[in-house]
Amino acid sequence: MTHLRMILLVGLALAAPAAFGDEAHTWLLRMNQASRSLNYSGTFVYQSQGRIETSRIVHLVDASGEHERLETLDGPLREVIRHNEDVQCFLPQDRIVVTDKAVLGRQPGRLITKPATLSEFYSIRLGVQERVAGRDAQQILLEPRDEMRYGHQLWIDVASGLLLKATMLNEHAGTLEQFAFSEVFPGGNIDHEKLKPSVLKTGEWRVINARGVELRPEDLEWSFRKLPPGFRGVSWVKRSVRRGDASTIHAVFSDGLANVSVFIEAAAGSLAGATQSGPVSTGSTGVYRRLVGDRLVTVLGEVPLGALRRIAEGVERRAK
Amino acid sequence: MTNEQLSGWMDGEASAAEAEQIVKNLAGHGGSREACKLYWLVGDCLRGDFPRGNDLCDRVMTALETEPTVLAPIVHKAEQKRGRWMSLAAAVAGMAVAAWMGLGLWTPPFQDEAMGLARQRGIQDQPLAAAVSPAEILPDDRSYLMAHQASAVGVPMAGVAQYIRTVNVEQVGGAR
Repeated sequence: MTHLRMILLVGLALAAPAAFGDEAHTWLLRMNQASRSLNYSGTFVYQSQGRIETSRIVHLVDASGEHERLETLDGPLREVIRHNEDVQCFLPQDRIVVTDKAVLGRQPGRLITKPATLSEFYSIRLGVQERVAGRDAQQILLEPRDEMRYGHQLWIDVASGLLLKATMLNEHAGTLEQFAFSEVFPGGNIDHEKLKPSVLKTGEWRVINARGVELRPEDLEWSFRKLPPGFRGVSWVKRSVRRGDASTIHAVFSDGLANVSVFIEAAAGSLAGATQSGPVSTGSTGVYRRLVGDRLVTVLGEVPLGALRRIAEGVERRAK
Repeated sequence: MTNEQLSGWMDGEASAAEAEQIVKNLAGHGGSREACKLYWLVGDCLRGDFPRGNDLCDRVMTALETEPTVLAPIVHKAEQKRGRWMSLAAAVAGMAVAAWMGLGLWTPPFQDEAMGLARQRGIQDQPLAAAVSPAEILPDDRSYLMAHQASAVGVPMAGVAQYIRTVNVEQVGGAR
């Protein structure tokens, strides 16, 4: 690859101005590359609806793949240790560990979202250059082209390509939530010791497996007829969401930026009357519910309520 | 900094010290940054991440098609070659589960033996086999939200915010 790149670099140098006509797209690609290939460590702050949470992250790439450790700095300690798609989450206060497979590890081919595709549903353009976390950053603006999704603003580190700050905006340009590094160190050597959980892993712990059973979309008895433009299915699993019911269907749809989950389950017991709709108080995530026969459909995601309603109304049982 | 060094770094072949120096150099060297852009774009074209029809990609693919085939052992760098958005999104899933666990929805550890709690000693040294279902101890609507966050994919832009969002929800839940 190295020599090939060298050859192509020489041959394509003159083509560069035209190729980078849409510089914002290039920044997104670069950000994407940096996020998965760079070592980095840092502290970041998340804000939503007046609440603030601070966390520390360490990310290392070596011959065996990606390693990541994340810990919360406010409130009870929670730690996440990831090696590629294998995830362990530690709750030392309760002596609980959760094991999971990152969903992406099971579906590597479904992750590609090209800027060219995104630009069909978002207007993508360059913003200003300003400092974030003491570093020069390029702002990228993604404005929705319809009312089916929220807007985003990103600040990308000029030196490394890492995402330094991100905001999600509602239809009135109000900030729904914001993430920002307060301190970040891209590149450099990271000691593997920093990727180990800090908790003492002795004694008795409760272990919980959060993995679901993957489904094939063609095997579902359900269709989703009113997905907003650009949304496509990325995950179908059968999982436990409520006590005593391991048969809830969980489908995930994405336009590349926003995700929407659709849960379909038996509307029995306490769920029988749960047909109200409306947002929940979680900042940018809304919920919409609908009864379809004897099934309760719950639609949830980081999109406007109108999009949730539309998706819910399009959930139908397939004709046999 | 040579182009070989730059390309090697982008292929993950640079040592940590070299990588650090290259990143520093990139900050103050516009020419190198432009070379980086080209390399990345070339890589995108090769992987098919840019659609044919893009002028540059067409040139890349045409150039490739006229290149002689070189037969050589393949060096595997498996995890670095995975799909786009992997790192952030996978991290998202991980943190979402952590937040799932941190909602304060849990019964106290070992309180209910009938739930079939898995007890293990020295969990780092033993397979994590015995487990209970999250649904058994997630009694309300917040479990939907956490399942959603744990399954979120393709959130490259606000990826970090995605999993922090779930932590934030914990505070909402804890206040209830």
